[in-house]
Amino acid sequence: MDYVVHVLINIALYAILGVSFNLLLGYTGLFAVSHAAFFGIGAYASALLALHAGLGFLWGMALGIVVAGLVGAVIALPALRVSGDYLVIVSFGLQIIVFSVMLNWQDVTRGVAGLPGIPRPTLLGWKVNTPSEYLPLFLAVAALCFLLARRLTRSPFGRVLKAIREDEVATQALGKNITRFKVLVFVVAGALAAVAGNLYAHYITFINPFSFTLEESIFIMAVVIVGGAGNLWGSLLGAVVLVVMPESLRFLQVPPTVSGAIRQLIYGVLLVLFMRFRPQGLWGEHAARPATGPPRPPGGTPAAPPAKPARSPLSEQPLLEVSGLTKTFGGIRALSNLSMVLPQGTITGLIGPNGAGKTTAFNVITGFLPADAGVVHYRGVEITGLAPYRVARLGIARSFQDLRLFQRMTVLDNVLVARPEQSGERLGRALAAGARGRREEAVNRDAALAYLDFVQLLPKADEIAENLSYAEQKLLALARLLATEAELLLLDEPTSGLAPTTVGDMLALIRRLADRGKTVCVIEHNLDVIKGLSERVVFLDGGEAIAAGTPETIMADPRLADLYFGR
Amino acid sequence: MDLFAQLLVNGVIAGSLYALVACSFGLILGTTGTFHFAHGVVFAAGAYGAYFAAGRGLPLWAAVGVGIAGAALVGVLIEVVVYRPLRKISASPLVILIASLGTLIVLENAIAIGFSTDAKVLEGFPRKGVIIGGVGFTTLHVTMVAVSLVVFLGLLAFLHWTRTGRAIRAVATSPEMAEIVGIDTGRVFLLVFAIGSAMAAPAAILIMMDRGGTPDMGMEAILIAAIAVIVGGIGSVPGAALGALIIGVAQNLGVMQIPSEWQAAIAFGVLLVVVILRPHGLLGKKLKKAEI
Amino acid sequence: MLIEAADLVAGYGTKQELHGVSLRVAAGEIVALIGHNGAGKTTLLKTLFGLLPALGGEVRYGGRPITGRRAALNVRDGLSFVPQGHGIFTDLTVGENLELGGYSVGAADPDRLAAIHDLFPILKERQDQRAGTLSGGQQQMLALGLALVLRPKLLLLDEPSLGLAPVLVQRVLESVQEINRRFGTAVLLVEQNVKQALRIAGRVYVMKVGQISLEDRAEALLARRDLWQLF
Repeated sequence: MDYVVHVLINIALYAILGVSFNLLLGYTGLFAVSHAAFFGIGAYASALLALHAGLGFLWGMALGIVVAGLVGAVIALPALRVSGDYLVIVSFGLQIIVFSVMLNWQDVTRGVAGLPGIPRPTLLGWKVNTPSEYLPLFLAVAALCFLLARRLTRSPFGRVLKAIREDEVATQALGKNITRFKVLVFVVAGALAAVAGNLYAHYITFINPFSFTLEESIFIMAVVIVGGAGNLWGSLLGAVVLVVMPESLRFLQVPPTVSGAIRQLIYGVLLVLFMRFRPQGLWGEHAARPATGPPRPPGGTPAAPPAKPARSPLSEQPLLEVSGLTKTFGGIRALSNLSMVLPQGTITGLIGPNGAGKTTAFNVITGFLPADAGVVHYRGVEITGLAPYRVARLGIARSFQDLRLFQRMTVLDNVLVARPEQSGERLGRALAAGARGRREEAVNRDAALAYLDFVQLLPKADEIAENLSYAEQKLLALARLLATEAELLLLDEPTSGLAPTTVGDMLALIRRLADRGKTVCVIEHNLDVIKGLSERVVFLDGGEAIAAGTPETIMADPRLADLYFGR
Repeated sequence: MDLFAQLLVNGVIAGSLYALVACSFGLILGTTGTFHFAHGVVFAAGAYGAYFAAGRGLPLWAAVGVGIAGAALVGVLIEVVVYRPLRKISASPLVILIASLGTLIVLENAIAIGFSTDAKVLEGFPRKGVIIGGVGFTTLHVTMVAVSLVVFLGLLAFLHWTRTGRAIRAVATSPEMAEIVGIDTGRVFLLVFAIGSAMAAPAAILIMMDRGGTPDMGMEAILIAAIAVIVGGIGSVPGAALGALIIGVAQNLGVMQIPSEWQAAIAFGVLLVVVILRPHGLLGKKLKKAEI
Repeated sequence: MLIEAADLVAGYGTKQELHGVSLRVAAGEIVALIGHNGAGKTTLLKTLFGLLPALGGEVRYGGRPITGRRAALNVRDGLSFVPQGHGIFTDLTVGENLELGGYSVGAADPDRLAAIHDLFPILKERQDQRAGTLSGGQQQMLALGLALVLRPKLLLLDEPSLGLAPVLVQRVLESVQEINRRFGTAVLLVEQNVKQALRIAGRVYVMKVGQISLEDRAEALLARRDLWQLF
């Protein structure tokens, strides 16, 4: 009986660790293999507190959460500078450094000898002694952690995490401060792992560094991968599978000297096989799509962007004014003293030969590239050098040539995440969402559906974005852009890659935006599109705006023809 | 001063062994784009192959040959069985990396089951102590540095002076152009895995002769190698060697200031400094500003 | 006909870029392929060469179907492709680059190398220099030289003048003309400098939104004053 209890406790332990690591790996796409370090920090913090200060279980848990949360924030710093393979190595490093501290800080941790005699917890006068008494406590805390994580991942906060996983650049362009989200998710994941550490220390009553090795971090990763990244239920299943499967060795009379190795061998094989045949895991992200039923059309919402009356036109002042913008890449001038204006409520076409600096201009205006010189004014306020998310929040939204959709999110979520000023993006609000949060979410959902309706994607609202056709993806990118409620829309090649038959539909949509008071600037190479859209064209060459006027006057200028077609 | 010289020499000896693993790991990463963590266990397989052959009565030189050939075989098999199928389905780099970690764990534990986790020493190398100018080392240490140097220079010569070596560099520089001129990239990948794996084995075998080896010897080796490659700059073979030497020397000189238990942390300290100050590594090409 | 494409459909993933393209190039002629950015010109060259799979339609080379054949085999058969930007191995020396041009048949033929050196003497002078350190114009000559090592019958050129100063644009296009004259190589030339390209070409195709919108004699197009209407 005790054996079964022990196995169940282990499952609960790895369920907590798996769920918390899933927040990093599965939801935010942060491949930081250092979770055993947080686990260990939680265990040591509460063990030390119990042994030296005589403080109980809950105090230990609180301290562990605080310390691991702080370490999480510290680990996040290098993690913010690097990504992909680099992040893996850096996280290995942090894991090994934490392990070294546990092993070598003899005065505090007693090194290899470890810390024995950790008391069993006492809760509200109830002393937990035997494993079977411990089990309900373990299960209750695990359930609590799971519910917390679930609340987080289903909140607007969790939606942003997934967006970061799919495309950091696009997430910034929607006005999200991705640094804040990454640091917070490290803190939360670290804190949850510390809770597991606390439970573990008080259960085993003895800890030493060898429970918190790199191998342990990889094992926790395996729980998430095998179970299914991006789905919390998957981590529960992963914990069951990876804890129970090696236990079967006990019944196969395997000598204890090799049972450890066989246990590891099994999960190594599982990792390889899953990567090859089922990379989404047993219970992957989209296996658990919420059964929301067919999308209901937004009740009574107009099938077009809510016509927000354009703010009082500041008669003489253009919405955006760029002056003297210069940007050099390794000796090549991409922008050279670029000056241009975008008057409110107009569609301006940006044309020019290859390498004229059109996309670079967008990148500098939106803060993705720093300018070497020059200033950008929006509504008369200087915005030069602001971070991309700040520029976006002021009301400038840009699209990307390569769309940068959140491929593995639903169509609806792609648009929802773009909604501005969602209070549920704050960690506290996400965790303690009440009726107000639900009301706000319902309003945003209706708005998102209205935009999907506007681009005629409503029937696809619950589809995964990557399953859309290319033309549909372009429409989705437009809907996402509109959902930001930005007033200035910078569109980078909105019709490229569309079949000749669908180009016209896209043009009609863009024209309707201008009718509703939006200011639009379009980079486009297909001159039919320019002629069909813009009342005003700015001609760029060599990073400089050398002419502006109606499409007719621009195309009548022989000097510009020479620049465009060569002499 | 003597202590400094001794530690410096120790650092160069350690660094030269790191360099073999780092250069081979860097060659594979730079050419195939595979973050080949399992290279660590290929390294260990070389040592255990030699140990196994020596145990069957083969003379030491033949056992070394078996170890090197065994490592090459394991490396090629991992490419064919694990990586190639994943590339075929356009798996993401992350998926390949996880599969590589899994492979490392599987083979490391397979070795542990076959040979137990006790340290194994490969006997039979005529080892003598030498003291020059107050600095002590053994003939085995001299062999380590010499072997590393020869293999390193041999690799550079091969890459620069042979048609096949040129093809490898061509694939590393531009896979698309390589395809355009008709280079079979699949074959080049196989070759690179074979060469890289064979190159790492001598380091493992020498370590097994010196202080013995354990099944998990590859984990530490591959971490150091990965750090060395990032420090030196991805895509540069000399950079990887330089990174390895820096880490070997830093770890050993660090002992003058920091207790030696912290050696593992020193390597990562170097890494963090480089990642923060010079993310493209010491000899690596500056990464182009990502197109937005 | 040297190469002939019929109803070619191709693209990247879900993004279809060619919507049924047909064109032909005869032995020894220079054909210009022009059109706005994103019209599908590069996609067309890559599909002809075998770097991208055709999703529909057919490519015939020398009368035989080669649709979907690997690029490596096409190279051996006399097709050469110079991609946009760096058609060279920047980390290797100039000499090594030229050697690699002959990779698919073993080694570069010394006579043909000499002919390339004769055409671009700078490539001989800079033999041991790392290709990435050459100037933009020299890099483009190396790209052309590399593509010529096997003396191809057809050269697919993707914007050889991209990023070059106006003087160099002229030089590079003159080289293309010279290659055509000396070796009888047919050329399918994608070029932004429309007028210069038209001056050296015999025929021209205009692409728009993944389709051929016009085929004409280059001279006739050059004489038109409303080029804007074609883009």
